[in-house]
Amino acid sequence: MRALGTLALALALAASCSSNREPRPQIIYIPKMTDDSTTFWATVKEGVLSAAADQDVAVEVRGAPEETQVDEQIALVERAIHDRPAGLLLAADDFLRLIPAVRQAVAAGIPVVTVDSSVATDDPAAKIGTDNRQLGRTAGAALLRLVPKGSVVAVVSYIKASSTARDREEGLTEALTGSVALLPTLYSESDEQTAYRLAGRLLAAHHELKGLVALNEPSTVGVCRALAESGRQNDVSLVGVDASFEVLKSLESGVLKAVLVQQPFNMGYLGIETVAKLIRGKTILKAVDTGSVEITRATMFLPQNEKLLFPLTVLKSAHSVPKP
Amino acid sequence: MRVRTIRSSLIGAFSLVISLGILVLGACSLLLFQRALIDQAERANSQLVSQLNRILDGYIGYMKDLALVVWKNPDVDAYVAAPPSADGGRRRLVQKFLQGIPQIRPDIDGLFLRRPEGELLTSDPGRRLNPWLDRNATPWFADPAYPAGAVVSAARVENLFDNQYQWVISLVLAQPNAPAPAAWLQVDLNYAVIDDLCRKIQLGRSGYVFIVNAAGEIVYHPRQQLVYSGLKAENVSDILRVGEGQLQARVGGRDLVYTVATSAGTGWSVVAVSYLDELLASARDLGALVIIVALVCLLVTSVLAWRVALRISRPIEALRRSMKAVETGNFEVLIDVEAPNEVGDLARDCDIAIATVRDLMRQALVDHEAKRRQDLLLLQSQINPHFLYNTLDSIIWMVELGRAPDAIRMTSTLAQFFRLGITRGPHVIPLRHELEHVESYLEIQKMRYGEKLAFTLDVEPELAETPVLKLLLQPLVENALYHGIKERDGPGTIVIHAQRTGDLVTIQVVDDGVGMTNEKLDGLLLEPEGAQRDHIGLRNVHERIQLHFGRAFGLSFASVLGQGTTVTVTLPWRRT
Repeated sequence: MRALGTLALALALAASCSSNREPRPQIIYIPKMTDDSTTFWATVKEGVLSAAADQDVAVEVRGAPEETQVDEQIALVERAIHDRPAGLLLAADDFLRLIPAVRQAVAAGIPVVTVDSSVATDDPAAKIGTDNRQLGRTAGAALLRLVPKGSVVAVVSYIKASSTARDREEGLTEALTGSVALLPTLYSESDEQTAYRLAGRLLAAHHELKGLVALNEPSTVGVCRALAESGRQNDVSLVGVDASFEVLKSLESGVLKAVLVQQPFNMGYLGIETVAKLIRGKTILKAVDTGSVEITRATMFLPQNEKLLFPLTVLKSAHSVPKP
Repeated sequence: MRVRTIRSSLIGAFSLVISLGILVLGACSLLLFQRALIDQAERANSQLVSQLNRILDGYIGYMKDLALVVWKNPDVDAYVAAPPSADGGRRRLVQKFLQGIPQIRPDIDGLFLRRPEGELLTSDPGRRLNPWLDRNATPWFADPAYPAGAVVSAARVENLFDNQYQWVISLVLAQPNAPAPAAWLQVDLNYAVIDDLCRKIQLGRSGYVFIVNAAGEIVYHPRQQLVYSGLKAENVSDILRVGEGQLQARVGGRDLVYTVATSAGTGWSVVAVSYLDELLASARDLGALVIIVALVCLLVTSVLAWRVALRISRPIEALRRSMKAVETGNFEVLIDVEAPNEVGDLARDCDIAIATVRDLMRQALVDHEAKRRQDLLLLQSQINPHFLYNTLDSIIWMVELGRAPDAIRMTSTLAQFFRLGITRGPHVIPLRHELEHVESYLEIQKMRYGEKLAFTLDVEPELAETPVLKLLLQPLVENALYHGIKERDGPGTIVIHAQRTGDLVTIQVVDDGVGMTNEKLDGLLLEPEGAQRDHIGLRNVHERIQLHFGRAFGLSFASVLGQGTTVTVTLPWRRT
């Protein structure tokens, strides 16, 4: 009798084992901005959603519309902590002001991974993104191939407090120092119009200018526009960072000589994959450099670059298609 | 050597057999189940990829047909053949014709007709051509020797129109039967068609479909960027080598099954990817169930084996305890083991053996006691002072009368009598010696009693060496003399017969004395008390015979009052 009872119990246990699947872990992703018109962040989100499907996790995207809304992002992180997700993927708007919120999340037992832009401390479990110092160095090397030694060169950066901007500037400065004359760095605040205005004024004031480097997508777009309007694209070599439709047009038309493209899809994908691994107790890398690719007009239609420059889901025309 | 209890051996053996059986059975069924699951998935995937191939072939075939329709159009023929900038009217006709096609088929993104000298007509005249177009990037524009047949591109970005980057699959067909340099027609299929088609397909939780062309370039892949940046790999070379069928591989730390179908029309290989761990998820559940069942069976077997072992080992333990007691010398132990099996039998056998040992020990004790008693009795028999006094008196008397020869004879006979009777030696002697002894006795008594006593020895010669007890006959003869002959009037005779009857030796001492009453006869062998002390010698002899030879032997008496008494000694016959 006793044996029969044990058997029944074990079978019931086995049945419950096989029928109960663990629920999908919930991950909250807070990007720098939710405005999908920025190709970069739309592509990061694409990677995030792909990884969510592959890793069998649920991802909720919460974010402020603009990159400059730091207070809103801090509030979002605090609300996320309150909702107790299994993990948090964050692209920090500000590398100092987000520190307390990140610390609070880590203290609450929520693993935090940063993507693209991190905070200045070691609190995040992992930092996924481009090695921005390296990106800056590559941009500098690209420019040096385009302008003669000793030329006057200007840099249009974006937000002074952003860790990525700071790292890119440092790398760039490291590569250019001694070879060219650097004008004081300008900051576009990640706004196309600002970048356009700043670049227009710069071009008007410095006729001796031979080279320009724009350090993110809105800055690149704005500077391209100003340079195209000035008609000096054969005189001033421009190197940009991050591709958008306009940037690519400028590359094809020759206004932009080279662009450094990050791997936003991979950032999003690896970010979610890392959070999922953390949740499941697997080993992860503390820092992942997703790398960047230098693209010129000659290489932009190579198969391996097409996917990077023209993300299908972002550019694809939406009309539905009947079968033959 | 390590001591293993029966219990642990039984539990070990049972558990081993049961768990081994279940695990082997479970492993076999699990393998079969896994095989079946994989087969099923492979069949389903095979159907899927060939279906997908047919659809793709349909699209590409349609594009080709479309290109042929364009080339068959006489207006197109005439337009291409005419010199540059000759006939504006024909040009407009062709333009209108091309323009109509994407309106009927929205999945056709665009058509581009290029005359040999470079003029380009598009299906969308409202759009400006890309002013920055790098013609070197598109081989059929740059290379006049481009293959004449229909060529299908991999997925690519079309940048012919200004302000538009469109993902397309392009089919290029040179004008048939035209001399080089020929005119070219390019038909663009919206890539979204293929993307939509493939993206909807989900195999298991994370399985997917991808397409490579014959050159190994990716036509469609849901994670194309990961593939390009090296974060994800596909065994493209193996897939192209297989071409058709199944391929198992380990990619990115996960085992997967590729199901490949290659289209002859497009040269594209459609590949379905299923992850083994997802296919085998239900097999894992079965595996878990097998392990749980095995564990439960193991538990049940252990309990059963434990109980069976207990039923065997408990009686053995009790038996062992009893035997320990026996070892310390306690033979009074009663082994109280009730077990309805061999152990119970063994316990009973042990019980019997112990009882036998106990009886033997008692017997040994009794025998030892009897031996001592025998010695004592013999000692008693030897002490007969009256006979010695009387004989010595007779000798003195003879000496006084000057009958020296008689005195000498009597003395030497007495010496012989004592030599035989008193000397220490074996309890058992040949009959011959005992007869010599009793003869000495009778000789001495004869010398004293003279004519009153006569005696005869009548012994079969073969009995001379038969073993008898020492001092067996003398007490009988003495009894016959003192209680038979001496009491009667006139001379008497004592006859000693010894004969063998089968296995028995009987020695009779017969006198013709006064005889005895039956009462007296019956009292002869009773415990000596009071008046009966006279016959202590008879009782002594009887007891010694019985102690030495057993209860079957001893003395018996027959007497007729006034006619005499016969004492019969019965002994076993032993050949010497």
